[in-house]
Amino acid sequence: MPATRKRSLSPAAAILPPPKRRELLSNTNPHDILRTGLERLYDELIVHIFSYLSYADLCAAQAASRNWYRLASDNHIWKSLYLSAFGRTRLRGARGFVDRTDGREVRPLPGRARGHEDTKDWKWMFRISSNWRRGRCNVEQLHEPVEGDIAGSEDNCHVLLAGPLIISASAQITSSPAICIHKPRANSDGSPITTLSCPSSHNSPCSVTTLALDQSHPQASNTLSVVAFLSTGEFLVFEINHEDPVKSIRKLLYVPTHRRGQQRLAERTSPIVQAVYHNPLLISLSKTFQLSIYDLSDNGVQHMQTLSSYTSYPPTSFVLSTPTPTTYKLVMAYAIPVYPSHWTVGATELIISAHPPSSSSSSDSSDPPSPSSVFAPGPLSSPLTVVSSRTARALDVPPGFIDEHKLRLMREQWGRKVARVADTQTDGKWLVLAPAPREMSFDAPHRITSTSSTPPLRSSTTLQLYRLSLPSAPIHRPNSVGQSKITFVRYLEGQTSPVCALALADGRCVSLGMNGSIWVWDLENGTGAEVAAPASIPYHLGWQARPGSVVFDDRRIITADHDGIVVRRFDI
Amino acid sequence: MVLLVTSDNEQFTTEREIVERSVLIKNMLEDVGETDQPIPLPNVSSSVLKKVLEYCEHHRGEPLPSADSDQSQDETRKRSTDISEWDQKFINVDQEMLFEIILAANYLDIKSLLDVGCKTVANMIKGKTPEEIRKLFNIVNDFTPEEEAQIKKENEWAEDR
Repeated sequence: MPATRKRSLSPAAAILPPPKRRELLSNTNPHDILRTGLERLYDELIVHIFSYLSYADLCAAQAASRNWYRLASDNHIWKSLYLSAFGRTRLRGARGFVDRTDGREVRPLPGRARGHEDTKDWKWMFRISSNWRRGRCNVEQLHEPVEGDIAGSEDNCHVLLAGPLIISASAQITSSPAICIHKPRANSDGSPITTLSCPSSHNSPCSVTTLALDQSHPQASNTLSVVAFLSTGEFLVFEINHEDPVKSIRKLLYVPTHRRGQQRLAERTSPIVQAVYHNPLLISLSKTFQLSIYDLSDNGVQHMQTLSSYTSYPPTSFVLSTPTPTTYKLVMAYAIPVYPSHWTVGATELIISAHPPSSSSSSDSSDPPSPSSVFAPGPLSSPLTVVSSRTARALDVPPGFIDEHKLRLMREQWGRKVARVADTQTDGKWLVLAPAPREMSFDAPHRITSTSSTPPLRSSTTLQLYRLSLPSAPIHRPNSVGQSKITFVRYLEGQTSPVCALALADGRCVSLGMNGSIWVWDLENGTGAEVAAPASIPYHLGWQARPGSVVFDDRRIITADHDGIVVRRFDI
Repeated sequence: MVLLVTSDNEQFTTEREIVERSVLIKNMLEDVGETDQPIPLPNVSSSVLKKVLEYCEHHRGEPLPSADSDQSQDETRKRSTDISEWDQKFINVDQEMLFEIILAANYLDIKSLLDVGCKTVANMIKGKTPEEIRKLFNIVNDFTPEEEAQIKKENEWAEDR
């Protein structure tokens, strides 16, 4: 080709678009002539190259030089890496549902609101999620002041996670029941920052039977409320200062009053096995499965309503959300018996309204309670009462004669029944059932005994995952609700001993095995990871059933069992 | 036909269909219409332009990514570093030429060629240690020992795969 024609290039040069990026400018820099190799590439090109790398290669690239460290930290690259690997825009795990109609938002607890959530450091998000997925964490033991004998108690410790705080209470009977507040990292020796005593007005030894954390937005920015239930039927409300827990105060003590002719009173309050609190609504569930609703507004306690169930049994799980400012939605999962001697899982949704509905739209005046209702709404006495209820169960026997296909489905359902239930938990969307072995040594409160031979069941180390579907009513027919159902999704297999406790929130499940092993399950994609290996002797070599409890949030798992309280952190 | 003039004043005559794989030149030709004027490419040397035109000629007629879809494609883009056989052979050049091609593809706005070049560099980085990466690209380690230890600690989570 002819090479040299002297520069009569101005016309075309004049129509050249302005430099789109900054290549023209940087290339005319005489300094650039000295540059060689990779240094000649502009930052944006190197970032483009980095966008093809995996997280591990990006981390290696970060360690090459200062410039590469800066470029390989590009938040967009890590965002797209995070989204392709974990497919959602936030960390999951925290329990607590507020200000969202679907009840699935992770609550920004005070003290956690600032920090990584706001800045959205995607590399950090990737790192913590990767740690969760692979069970990579560090372990810290907390010291609980232990006294007395805990052998007889079913749960030996109750634990709550409240932002940076861990709130625990021993379940043993003592003359001075108390709740402990821990702030890991603040005290390097793992002892509680402070303890709050929970004295009964009866001056008799008692125990804390459950704890509940207020889910509502705190009125003061540095406090949160916790309710502690005592075995005497009383409960106490504490206002905990999460910045300076020593300044926490006891707000009130509720002593149930015994009215003449009310035999149900003792049963409805003692002992409380489960409670949920969204100020001003407090809901408690007794061991006899009586559900009590309290109004805690104006620093008082008003008992609004008590409902009973004939067919539902603990263990239970509560999820409370607020679809509208004046209504609450309680989703509860529990064990239900299968004739003649087995168990499966059921769920009930209760809508609790802060205002009595007008008589025309009231579900219990216009419709009879649906036959599937477990909790039949009582008479409307005042605000904060249950206005509707519906129930689904995992084993639903169709009436009459059925075809082959339905028969096969029935047999599959039948095969999922369990001899004993160790725990059942829900997050409002997923439901996990943990079977317990038959020969479990501690005495469960409810148990159907039968001598009849039963078909062989799946191993009691296998968890069952169900999808809970409670479709909301269409707007044009507010009284007609869609069909609620529980659909089996898959078995979760991995744990080598039966599970003693489950925690479930926002599509993630943590299971604590009786041998001390911990598994984390991503319920959406069905993967599981072992976080802690079995601590004690293998299951078949005659271990002892060990009760325990487990809670977790987006970065920690807290377990409480015979070995005390252990914190596992994933934000490392 | 279109006349291109490189930085070292060499002239290339190519078909419009080939050279229009460059969005820069395509837009320019659309703006001025038919012209006999040579188009200056002050950032591209003749040896690089020869390679670029070889690429354009091989891929002539293939649909160009539209400007609108650019962003969304980027978000959902598969992080695949697969390169077709012909492209692999084409891009099998020394490092200096590889970077020149990337720069030219970026300047001329030939997205598919830019991707091929960047994927090739990414493939070179893959699986290497920081020290191997430095050696490969002649990168000077300008970290202090403390910084290096800090980064190692920070990225520990990614190591035990």
